[in-house]
Amino acid sequence: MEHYFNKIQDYIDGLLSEEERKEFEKQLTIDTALREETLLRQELNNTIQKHLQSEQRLGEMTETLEQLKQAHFYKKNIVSLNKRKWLYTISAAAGMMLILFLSGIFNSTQFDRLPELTTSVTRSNAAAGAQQEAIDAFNRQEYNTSAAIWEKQRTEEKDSNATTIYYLGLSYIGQKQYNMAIPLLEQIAGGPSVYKEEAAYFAGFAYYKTDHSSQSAYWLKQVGPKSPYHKKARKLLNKMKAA
Amino acid sequence: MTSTKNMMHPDQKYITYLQHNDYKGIEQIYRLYAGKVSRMIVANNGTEEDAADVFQEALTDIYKSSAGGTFQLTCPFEAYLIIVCKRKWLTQLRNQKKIQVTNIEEQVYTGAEDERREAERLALMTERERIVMQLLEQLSATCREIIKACLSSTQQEQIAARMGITYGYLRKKKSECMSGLSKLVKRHPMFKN
Repeated sequence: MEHYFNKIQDYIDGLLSEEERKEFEKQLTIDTALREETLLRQELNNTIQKHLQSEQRLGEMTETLEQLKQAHFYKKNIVSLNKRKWLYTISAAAGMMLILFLSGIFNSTQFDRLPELTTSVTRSNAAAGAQQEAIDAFNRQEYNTSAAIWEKQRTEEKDSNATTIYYLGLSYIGQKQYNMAIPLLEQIAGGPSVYKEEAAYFAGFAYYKTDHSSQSAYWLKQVGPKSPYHKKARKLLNKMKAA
Repeated sequence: MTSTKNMMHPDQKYITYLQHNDYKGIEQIYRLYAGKVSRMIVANNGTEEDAADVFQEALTDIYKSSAGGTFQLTCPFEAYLIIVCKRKWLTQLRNQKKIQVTNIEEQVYTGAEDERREAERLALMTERERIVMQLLEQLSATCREIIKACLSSTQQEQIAARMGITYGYLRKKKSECMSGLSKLVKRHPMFKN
């Protein structure tokens, strides 16, 4: 009876009166559908509670896994990166940041590879210090830390600047929190920011990872041919078409 | 034959490493099993990059599934991990409509039959939980907020006050939202039968 189905959640939460509980449990013994639904709802409750609990330390875990992934699966890339780093030391300072930014984008099919960030904004001393701390954390792949700093800045700033929003979106990509990243990256990709096309790529990537292929394709197509992410966007589009 | 069911396996230490974010312990997991998973995926239409992603996602799923302190590993960690990776990779291949691959775990895990069965049971549980969390994200923003808030805290009256609704309405909405999630779950192929 529908009447009993409406009481399942209160039964699970222990909110029924003693009399109601006894009546509900009596019904459970004779109504198979009610019993199955109650068991499923208990399973759903337990699963969600457990997963929400796990999210408290998920960021730290993801950082550890990301570091070990690089060490165990991309040893060749690390050697190559070290060679490139040696070259950077003898390059002119102006060119160095550009090369650092571009490295990791070309010659790579690692769609989730995040750029190395640089300081590009002028702020008050305190804000600039926090910004640098977040950038350093991000570049060490400590996305939990960088996300926390930028989330705080975003909350405190009445009119969040595009850099904060974009970098926060990238931090969520690093944490594999794609649903958190998408609205931030879409905000930047749909606006006039200099990060517009990079944000479009990562918004497309986040949608791809959450199995939303039409939204993914939409944003990937916004990455123009002059963007350093154009090639990767095309590759990801081709990968989706082949699927 | 001795059943492994309900007996905690010594490999429970790997679950503890994940739960405590123990870097050295997790590194041991990579050292012992990353190569096997990589070979399994590369031998079945994948690349090393695919293997790296699958391995990391599998460990994340296991971490989430074993949260809360009640999870008991009842088979070798290797069997559990490899079957979680295998199921993830088969799903990806199926989604990409690539060649159907079956029984790929036999190539890398050759343990006893009861261990394999137990690992399959745990891997299935882990996958079902992942799907529940995916389906939760398909609910409306209000439902997601209510469910997550109510299942994160026992202070339901405070949640209602914070959301600007009455406690009675919160209970009613929670029940409706959980019922909606239940319908989505029952329609999913993994939960049919």
